[in-house]
Amino acid sequence: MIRFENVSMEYRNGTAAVNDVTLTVEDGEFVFLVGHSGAGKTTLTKLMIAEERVSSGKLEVNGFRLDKIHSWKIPALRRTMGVVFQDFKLFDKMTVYENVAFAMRVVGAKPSVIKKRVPFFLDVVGLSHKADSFPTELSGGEKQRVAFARALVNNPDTVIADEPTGNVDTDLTEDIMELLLKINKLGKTVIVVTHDMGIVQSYRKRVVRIENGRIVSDKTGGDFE
Amino acid sequence: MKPSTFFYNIRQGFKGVFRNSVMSTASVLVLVACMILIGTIYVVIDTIDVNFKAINDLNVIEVRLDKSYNDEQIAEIGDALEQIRKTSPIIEKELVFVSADEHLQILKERFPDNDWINGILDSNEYNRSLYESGELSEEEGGSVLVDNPLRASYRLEFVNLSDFDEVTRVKSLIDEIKLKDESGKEFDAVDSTNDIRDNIELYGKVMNVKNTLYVAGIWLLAIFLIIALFVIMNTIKLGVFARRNEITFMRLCGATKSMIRMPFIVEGVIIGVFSAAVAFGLEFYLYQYLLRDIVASATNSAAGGGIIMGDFSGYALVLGLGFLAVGLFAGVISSSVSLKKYLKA
Repeated sequence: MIRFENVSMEYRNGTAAVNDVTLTVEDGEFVFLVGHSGAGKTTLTKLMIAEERVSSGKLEVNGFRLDKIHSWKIPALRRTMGVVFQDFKLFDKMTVYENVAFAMRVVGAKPSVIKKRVPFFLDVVGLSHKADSFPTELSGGEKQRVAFARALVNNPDTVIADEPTGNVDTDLTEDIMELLLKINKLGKTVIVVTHDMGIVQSYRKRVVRIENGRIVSDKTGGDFE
Repeated sequence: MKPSTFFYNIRQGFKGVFRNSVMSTASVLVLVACMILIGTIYVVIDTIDVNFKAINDLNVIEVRLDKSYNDEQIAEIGDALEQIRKTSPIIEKELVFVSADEHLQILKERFPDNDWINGILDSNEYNRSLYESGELSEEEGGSVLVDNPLRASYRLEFVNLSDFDEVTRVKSLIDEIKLKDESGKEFDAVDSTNDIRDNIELYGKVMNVKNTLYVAGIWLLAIFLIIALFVIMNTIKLGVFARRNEITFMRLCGATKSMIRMPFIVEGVIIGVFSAAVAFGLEFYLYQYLLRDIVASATNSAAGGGIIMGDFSGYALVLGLGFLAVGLFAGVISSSVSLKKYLKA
């Protein structure tokens, strides 16, 4: 579960990026986080993964109190989250298999476990046949799928996708969204950060809209006004 | 750490070294240069130390006895010196008497090819053979020995010559030793100008040179270590910069700081250990085949005595461990510092 209680966050220069946000996302929920550029969506996700620290208020993510978390506990928090970046952040010198395995390797997973889980998640995203390909040989949609496999492979409780359809063709958007719904059906909490109002309306899920660091609406059914 | 993680980090460290091969080579070269300089300074200081110990009379006051003194008078002076020895905290060893003949033998050992010494010894041997065969009586020869120009002496060995006040006090006490002539009149047994020989001044100069070398060595060590640290740091920084996306991703995946840091530390350690091995090999070659030959050829003609230089095996352990320590220190510290800003939570 993710719970913001009157959370504010200011940068060192005094700019308020998040202002008195109160929000709860239950386990297994699917939430769209929408808003214009600079509205505070990305800062909100950075707060959830402790990439930025809370200035005031209370923030709890997957059992961790982030407003008072010790830095040595942050890796444990992040292992409960899978993050999919807009620019994929794949490593061009690694194959698809190695990119996914890398996410497991860096948290100290055993090679035997890696050998079992990586093919499974490549299968989940439909890329088993591309295991030995390099990212430069993949389409935008395929790269995004690799990024999803990598986010899922450590079995996180929550998946955060930052503009997952931002770098793919329109006809692939539906595939990506279907994949996110599939992930949600696996019991994962899914938070999709987007400014693509088309997909928000199509999928009729909970929509949290942010403006100037504040939540201005929180509705279900694809309504974001 | 799990074995698989350990070996993974080792592999990543090696990959890092080869990925930044130009900077890795630069780091190794600077570290090797630094280590060789440190090693050479150490060897030079040690060689100076060994040679001073071999000379063994820099810290000695020698009281030369007039050839006219009889055994009784020599013993009297010995007693007086013994009293002085007991009162001085910087003379620990026993008073040593060296006869004129013993001096001659010592000189013979030190300068085996010296014609003058050999001449005296040969004449002495010839006289002894004539005396033993009865061709030369004791009266005819005057003595079994030809006239030995050297004098007998007493030697006082100091443990610490840096206490100049105490050395001066001892010298003035020696200067005051009196003997009595046949009429019972006292006279000075020791003439401070002609009878007391010491190397206090030379010892001081030598100590100054040695201390200067020590200080210069330590400064050079520090300077080169800092240079080496900077170069390795830049190498690692290049590696870190090239892999900054990986590092960010690792952090966001939940990798611990040690997990992120380890491959870079391994990279630093590889550079450090490799540099230590190269420096050790070069130092061995320089010492065994270059330095010793140069010193030997430069000192061969000087008064028949060369500078003593031990075998490299005597330095191997100290230099090996020293180089390894410098390499590891430089490797670990530079990689830790380079990574610091990328490891913020």
